Amino acid sequence: MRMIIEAGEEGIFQSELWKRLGINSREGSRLSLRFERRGLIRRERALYKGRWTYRLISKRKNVSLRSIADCPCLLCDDIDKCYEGGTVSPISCERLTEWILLLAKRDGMRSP
Amino acid sequence: MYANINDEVLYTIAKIIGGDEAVAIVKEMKNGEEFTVEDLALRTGIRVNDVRKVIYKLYNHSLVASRRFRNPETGWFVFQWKLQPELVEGFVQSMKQKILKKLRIRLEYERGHEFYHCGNPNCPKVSFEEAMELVFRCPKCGGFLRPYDNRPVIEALEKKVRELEEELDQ
Repeated sequence: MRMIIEAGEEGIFQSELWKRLGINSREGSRLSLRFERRGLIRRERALYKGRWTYRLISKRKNVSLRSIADCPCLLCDDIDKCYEGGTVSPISCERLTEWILLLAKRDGMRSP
Repeated sequence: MYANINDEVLYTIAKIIGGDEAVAIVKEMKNGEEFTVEDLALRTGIRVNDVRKVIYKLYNHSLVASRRFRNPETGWFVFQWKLQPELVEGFVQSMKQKILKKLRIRLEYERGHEFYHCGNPNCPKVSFEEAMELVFRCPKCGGFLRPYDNRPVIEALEKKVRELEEELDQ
């Protein structure tokens, strides 16, 4: 499973994987079907070296911080004390406001 | 290294939790070995007390685990620390959830209020109720307050909320 995850979005050919693991295709096919049934991978039919096989692609996405990387809350010491009506609030936080305005600007919208 | 966490994400999180010192410590620990605080201090050149502070911060977020044993010579307990990169995913998810919650609160507020602004980019916008109390004068520069269209802000918030909801659903 780790090898499939490491292959990323590209996936790995089933036959290639069995070769690397040193197991036969009968055992391998059973294993990949089991992974698919458990919802861990998706199998796509593909032609590899002139033979039909399956490309095994992990459904597990890499952990990414991209969507919140520049959000000020991420580095804020008050993140757990920040709530509506609190001394620190998402409604009045200046740093959060600046970030939201930046998002609006990036989206090509108007901002004050 | 756990397969779906890359080093960059791991170091960013270390930096968020404990700054550059945490990054240096996590770099030493990422191969999965166990270390005492003194080992880490020697390897990184960071003072033992500072290493301990960083380790406790990482421990508060469950990113490191400890194993305790007794030193047969001194009879003292020795703690060995190990990085738990598999819990980074949980940390990221929990940060996303916290941020999503705050953005939803802000979105509701933006949707439910009318705003006024003087046009000066350094001045804050104020709600209609506040503008009434201020007799439509900017609290910062004294300029005249005019209606402010917050639709771009609402749209940006809606987009980010959707993005985070989708990521958390996966």
